[in-house]
Amino acid sequence: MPQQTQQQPKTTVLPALETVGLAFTYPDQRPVLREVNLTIRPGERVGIIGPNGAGKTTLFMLSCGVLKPTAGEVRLFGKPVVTGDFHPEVGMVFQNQNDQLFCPSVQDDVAFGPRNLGLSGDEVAERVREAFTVTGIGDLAERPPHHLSGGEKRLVAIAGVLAMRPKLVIYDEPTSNLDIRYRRRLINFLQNSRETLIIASHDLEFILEVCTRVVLLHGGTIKTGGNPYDILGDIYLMEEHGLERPHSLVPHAEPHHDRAGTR
Amino acid sequence: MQLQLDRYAYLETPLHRWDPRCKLVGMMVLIFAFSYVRDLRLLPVILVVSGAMYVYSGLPLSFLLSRLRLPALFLLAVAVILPFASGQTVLFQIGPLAVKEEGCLDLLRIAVKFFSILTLGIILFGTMPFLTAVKAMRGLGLPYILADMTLFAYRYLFEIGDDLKAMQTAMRLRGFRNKKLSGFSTLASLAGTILVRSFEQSDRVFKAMILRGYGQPASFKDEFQARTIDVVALLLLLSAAAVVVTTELLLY
Repeated sequence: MPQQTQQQPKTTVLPALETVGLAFTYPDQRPVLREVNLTIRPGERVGIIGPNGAGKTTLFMLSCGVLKPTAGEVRLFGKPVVTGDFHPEVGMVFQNQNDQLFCPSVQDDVAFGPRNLGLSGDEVAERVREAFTVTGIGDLAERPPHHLSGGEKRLVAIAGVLAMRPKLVIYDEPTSNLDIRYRRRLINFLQNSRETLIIASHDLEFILEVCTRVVLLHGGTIKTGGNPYDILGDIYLMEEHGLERPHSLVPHAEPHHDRAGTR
Repeated sequence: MQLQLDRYAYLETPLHRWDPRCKLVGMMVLIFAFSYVRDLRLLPVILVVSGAMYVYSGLPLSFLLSRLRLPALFLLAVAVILPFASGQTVLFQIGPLAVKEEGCLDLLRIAVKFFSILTLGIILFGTMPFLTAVKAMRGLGLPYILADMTLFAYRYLFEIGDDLKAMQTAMRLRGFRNKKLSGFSTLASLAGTILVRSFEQSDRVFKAMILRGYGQPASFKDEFQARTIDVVALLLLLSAAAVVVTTELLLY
């Protein structure tokens, strides 16, 4: 008798983020986003690049349900994003960390999110401990956030988001105002991150080191996307959209950068 | 964390270790009991009780005196008016002004109660961090909106202060000296800018809070756990308050 092959059922992996025909216009202003179609798969680390005013932050606000699209739809892990609803599966680290650190102590700030999830005191404490361990900021627990350095504030903001255990984390200009030491610490941290990441940054060397895919946003639309080295290394593409190639991708008489772009 | 208000809030005395909710209830009840006192014979009692509690709290005398400075100005205003304005029995004359016995006794009553109540208030808020006090109030049923507004207002006072300082420095570095009338319009612009910036920041902060679930039912139940000794101390203080009020009712 011929052997019957067993067909394994196909498991569809839902995109972490999917936007379909997404558009947005602020009142009395020009459209910021037009017809943005973007799909991000779980586990990806996607860099969003583009000049100032391209619509990156607006895209993030729409993805989190803070703003209501003028047109189109946003889905997080297959579920439509409803404006105004709380979506714990996504977390966002803001560009200005002062906007995100609003509790009087670091411990309280990191515990803020888990408390809003309705967890018990013990569970909240566990989440805070875990976030402190992952970000290495346990010694800052009792400090007031406004007394911290820029790098410390950034890590506290990240801990506050990670304490909610999101599946997707959005970083808006995470290296802004960071010194070299904290920037390197952030790179190492994100390279080892298990969440799906979306990162907007003007620091293209940082994007090269961290991201597995890059999307170029300009004038409210996605112009192209793909391998970071291919996109960021295309001088004509970069200059056309008001950007420059990162230094490590500029051809050198004596090559002194490895593929990772570190030196 | 240590804020300016919390300089001595981290000492290790029984009053510091007392459960914040029990402390809040006990001290507030005692404060109200002291405010009820009218009989002069009870004044030394409340003075001794508040003084003894202050000594027991371990807070330095300089802390008490520094905190009493500003309220003392109010008492000074009362001291200047009351002995001359209240009562009939003249004790002595200072020129055209007559110092009256009833006014002096009223002043004594007000001064002792004022001092005792303020001392209890300083003990209450000096022996626990400001944040803990607000959380204790929340634990006792203060609506979370009011508690959060208090916490955020305190938190962002520092931010606004820093912004103001930075802007004033920038103005001075560009030659601004507030010596002319036109300087007032500059200061008005400064105040307006601070207001607008703080409003815009509050909008961004609110978005950040929403993204971390603010507005969902939050869990604050387990923050404090009162020990037996805490409850005993509360009952002692409530008894003391009851004794003061009862004695006042019997004497008056």
